[in-house]
Amino acid sequence: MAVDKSLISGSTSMLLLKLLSEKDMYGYEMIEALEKKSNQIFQLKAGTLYPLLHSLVEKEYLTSYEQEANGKMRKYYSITKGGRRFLDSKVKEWNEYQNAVTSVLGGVALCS
Amino acid sequence: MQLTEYIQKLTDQIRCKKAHPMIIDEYRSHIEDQAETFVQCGMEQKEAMEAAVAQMGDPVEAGVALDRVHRPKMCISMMVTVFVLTLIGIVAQAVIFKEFDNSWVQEKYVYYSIFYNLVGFAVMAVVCYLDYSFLSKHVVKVYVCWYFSVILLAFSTELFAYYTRRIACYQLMALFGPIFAGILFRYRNQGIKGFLKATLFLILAIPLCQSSGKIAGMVEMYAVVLILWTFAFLKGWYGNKGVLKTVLMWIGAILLPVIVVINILMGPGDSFRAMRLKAYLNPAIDEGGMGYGISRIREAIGDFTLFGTTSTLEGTLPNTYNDYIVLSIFSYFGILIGIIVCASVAFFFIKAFRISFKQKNQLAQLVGISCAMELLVRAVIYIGANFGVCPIAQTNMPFLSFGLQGILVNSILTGLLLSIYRYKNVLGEKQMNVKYRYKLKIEKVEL
Repeated sequence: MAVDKSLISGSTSMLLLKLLSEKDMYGYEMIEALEKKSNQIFQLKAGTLYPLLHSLVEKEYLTSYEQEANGKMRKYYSITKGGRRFLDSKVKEWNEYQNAVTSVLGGVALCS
Repeated sequence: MQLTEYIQKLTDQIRCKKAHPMIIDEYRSHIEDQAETFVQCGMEQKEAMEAAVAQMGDPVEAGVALDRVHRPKMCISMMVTVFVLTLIGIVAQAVIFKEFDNSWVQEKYVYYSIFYNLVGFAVMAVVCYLDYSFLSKHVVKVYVCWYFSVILLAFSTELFAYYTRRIACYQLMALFGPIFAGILFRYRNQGIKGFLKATLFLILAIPLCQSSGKIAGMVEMYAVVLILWTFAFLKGWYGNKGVLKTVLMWIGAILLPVIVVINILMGPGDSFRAMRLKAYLNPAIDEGGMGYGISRIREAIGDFTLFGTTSTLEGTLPNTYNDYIVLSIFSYFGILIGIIVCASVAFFFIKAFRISFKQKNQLAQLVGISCAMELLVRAVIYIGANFGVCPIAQTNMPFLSFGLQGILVNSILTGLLLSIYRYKNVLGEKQMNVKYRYKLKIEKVEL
């Protein structure tokens, strides 16, 4: 299903932090995991992913380290305590937004 | 679009060239992974690579976004703290100089102080702009240069007076911390062999402590090496993560000075160090000699007021502008200003350790810790000696006391801390381990 990109652009950092709250991952792994978990709906371009990851590292929500995986050196990202706190606040914000949208849509549906 | 063209367009947008290698590595690795997946799905290698590059999106857009993140940054709060402390130091020195009998000191010394600090700021700026990764790439050359500089200085009896030489050697020795950090980093992940190599550099450096003969220098070196080793052991640089090794090392490290002090006290009672230690413990036994300083300090502390007095300690204690600047600030400007100054010094150290521990790459962490620790031990010894609670003779107080040599070394150490902050989003771990390779390419061209 094609989804309007503007719907997810604001919440990409939340989605990435959520993925990393489960385990440390490298960039390519994150794109694959996001695609798989969202049933192919979120297909993030790598060009967009890395600037976002790097800015999350700069804000100290993530840290990075290098580790060998499958015979290749990978740059892994790991969520920090600050990152977890930020994720919690984002999830809370998102749930409130989602409830509000559902209420409005529910209201519209009832009227119609 | 080809891989090289994509990378070129991406990096063209990122102004800080030092950040390029780290970004190129990550993007290249991602494209290769994607191409590999396409090949597994049945694509030809060339086609797979082009498709993988196409998947990356717009290189210009990504490059512009990366440029916003990967820029050298200055640690403004640390710079302001250093500037304010230096200014307070100059003002305090100016007040002390005015009370000197010597008119040359009264009129000229404050200008010397301003000039020395300006030189210090210039050195700090140069070191800050230098990329600190040279401490890994060229650490052996740096160590050799440093080593022979100390030896040359120690033996330059014709050029410098005894006291100047001793202080210069002590100041140069303070640079051992960041150099040893580079050595530990260079020989990491080589197991016991790496540890022995790094230790050899340390063993060779220990006799150099004799060049200054200052206990403060030995204590600084001892504390910095201990902290750096603790870091290296806990990171597992020389084998498994060594919590037990670290605990044993600390037990030994605490026992050693205790044994030394007991040895001094139990040894010949008339030795210089024994007399000094006994006079420190009980100043009354040598009121006019070695106990003089401690007695005057205790009197000065007893006279402290909240907002200060109208006279400094000049004439009561020797070289107040150099050796007792903190005590003088408390005495002349009062307890309130004194506490504000000490709080600013504490803020500097909190910031310095925070910067160091928050670094992504381990060389930056280690160099930062070594610089912060070196300055901290100096400040603790100095403030402790100023308040009569530390038996070791003080040398110079970072940012506050007078003296070109001390200012230069403290500026180098602070400059390194600023450099670490400056390049925190720019230098990756890989750039610390450069092994140069040369490639000769022969290409067929049309004539």
